[in-house]
Amino acid sequence: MEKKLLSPKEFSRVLTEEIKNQKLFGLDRSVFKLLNIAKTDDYEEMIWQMYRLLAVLDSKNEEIYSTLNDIQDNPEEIKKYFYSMIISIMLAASQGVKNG
Amino acid sequence: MGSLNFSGNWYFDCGIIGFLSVIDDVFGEEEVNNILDTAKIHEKNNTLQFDDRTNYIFFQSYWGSYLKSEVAKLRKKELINKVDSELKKITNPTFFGNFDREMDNFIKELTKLNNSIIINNKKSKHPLHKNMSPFYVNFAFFNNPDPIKDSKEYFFNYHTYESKGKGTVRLIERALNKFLPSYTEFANEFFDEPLRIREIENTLNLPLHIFLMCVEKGFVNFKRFKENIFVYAPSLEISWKIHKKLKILAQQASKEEKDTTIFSLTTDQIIDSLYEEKSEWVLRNLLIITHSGIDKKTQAIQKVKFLPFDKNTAKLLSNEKIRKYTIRNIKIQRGNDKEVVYGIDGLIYKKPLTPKIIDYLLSQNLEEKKNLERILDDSQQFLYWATIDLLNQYKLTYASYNKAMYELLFKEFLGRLVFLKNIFSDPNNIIFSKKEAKSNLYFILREGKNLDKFSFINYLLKFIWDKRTKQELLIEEKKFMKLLKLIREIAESDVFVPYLVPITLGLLSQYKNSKF
Repeated sequence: MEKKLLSPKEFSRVLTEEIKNQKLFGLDRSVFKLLNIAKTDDYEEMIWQMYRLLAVLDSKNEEIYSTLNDIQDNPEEIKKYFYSMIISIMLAASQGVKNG
Repeated sequence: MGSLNFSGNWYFDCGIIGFLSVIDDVFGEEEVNNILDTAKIHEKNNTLQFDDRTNYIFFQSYWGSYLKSEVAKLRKKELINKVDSELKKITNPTFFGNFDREMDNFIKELTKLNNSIIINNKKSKHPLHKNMSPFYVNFAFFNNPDPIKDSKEYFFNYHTYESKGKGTVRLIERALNKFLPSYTEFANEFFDEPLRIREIENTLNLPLHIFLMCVEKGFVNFKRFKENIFVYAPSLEISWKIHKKLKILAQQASKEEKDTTIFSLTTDQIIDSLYEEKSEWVLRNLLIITHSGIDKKTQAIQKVKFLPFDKNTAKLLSNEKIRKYTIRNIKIQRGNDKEVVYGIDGLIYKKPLTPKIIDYLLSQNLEEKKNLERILDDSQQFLYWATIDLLNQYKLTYASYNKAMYELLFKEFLGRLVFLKNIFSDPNNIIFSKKEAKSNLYFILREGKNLDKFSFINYLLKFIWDKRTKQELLIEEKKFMKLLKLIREIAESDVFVPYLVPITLGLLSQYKNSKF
């Protein structure tokens, strides 16, 4: 069966949920570092950072892995998903603040 | 008695508008309304034909206005005045007599008049035979070896359609309609012989041979563009109304406005006329045709453009607010040149408007309170224009296109832009402080449209996050999250320049509050 791929928005939603579930709100300290990476054309680093986050989250979501696997050769797509990841971290942190 | 209606073929119908136009030029609106209202057409052999009075009025108008325009080309005031006064004498609308006899008298008078004026230092051979437009060369009454004697006979034959003798034009092919192939050159195109005018006349009950003489006059000539335009709405009354408005516009068109196209200049007038009719179906069935004249040698109609309105554009334009803001324009001053940008160009011709809004804002003196206030008063217009850009660049799927999602999408995009503008301008949400507003405003105006989408998002996110970590970002958590989600949408979509407009307007508002 063909694996479902996530859009950047869905990708971001899943990550936000997982960060909230794990209560890893401290990840927001890495936002500036990630934004600096996003400014470059170092796509390998961006992919690596996304896998790194999944490892920290101990994510079991297969769709996320399939999606990352699928976009690896497309720089424009990598950037879209990378920004989605950064915004997920920011959103999770904001929701963490909102919920005390 | 029958009534004057469109035939359903744009070429013939352009002729009907031309027919009304020549009568309007000489006898005025009253006579046109007379023909439209009372439809002075009588039935004869199952064919509607004009009665003698209408025929004569048309005859007078046609040749009267033709001669007038020929003399006008000479730009000699005394000649124009002379022709005017002579024409007044011989164009008497109260005539109800014998058409043949009156036409004979009219031609005699015109010949006398024509012989008394010298055109290009040569006496004209015949009033109906001088400097003719290439449009008419295939009509035998303009194109025969003995103009004085034969023109009259040919024209009479053609006009009355009584005889099958010399001068009648019978086939519907290239000789009459330059948009059709030639029967002699491309016989296979027709399978059989082409249609005859009489066959169509019998079916449609319209004196088509008269209208075919007037097709050229159905177009409004805009001299400054060297283009002619005909707006074909599915109703004679509406098309006529638009034709009249465009004629006035053609006389008024300002020479100062550079880079304007005939479409830009005329479309808002057209939309306004149609909006008065409150009918979306008219817009949906509208056809605009332009050409830039006929080549004298080849008789080819040059630079022909057809422009149909699509269904979704028509739907949007029937919304009052969208119409109101899209028919406006902005003027961008560049040194001595002035560029006029029309909102309608974005909606109908899909031209990007946002870069022009930014150019416009940059061309304004933003240090003056009056200017800032005026720009902020027009905020809604700019937001609507930016929404049009978003819509144009949104990749509609076939399914969503078919379901006419356009209006819903428009509202969705407009909502996003309004949210952005509010969040950047609301004094209770501090994203950019008053001090920061000015430098960021100029940065976005000068660099914004040259930045790529991700650089802009990076700049925005860094700015916001920096403020947040310093606890200087005073914004409701709910709104902040909505803002982040919107930035995520921008990152995901292929378009971002239109989003600069609400941010700029928000910053302008902040800047105004800090300065004044």
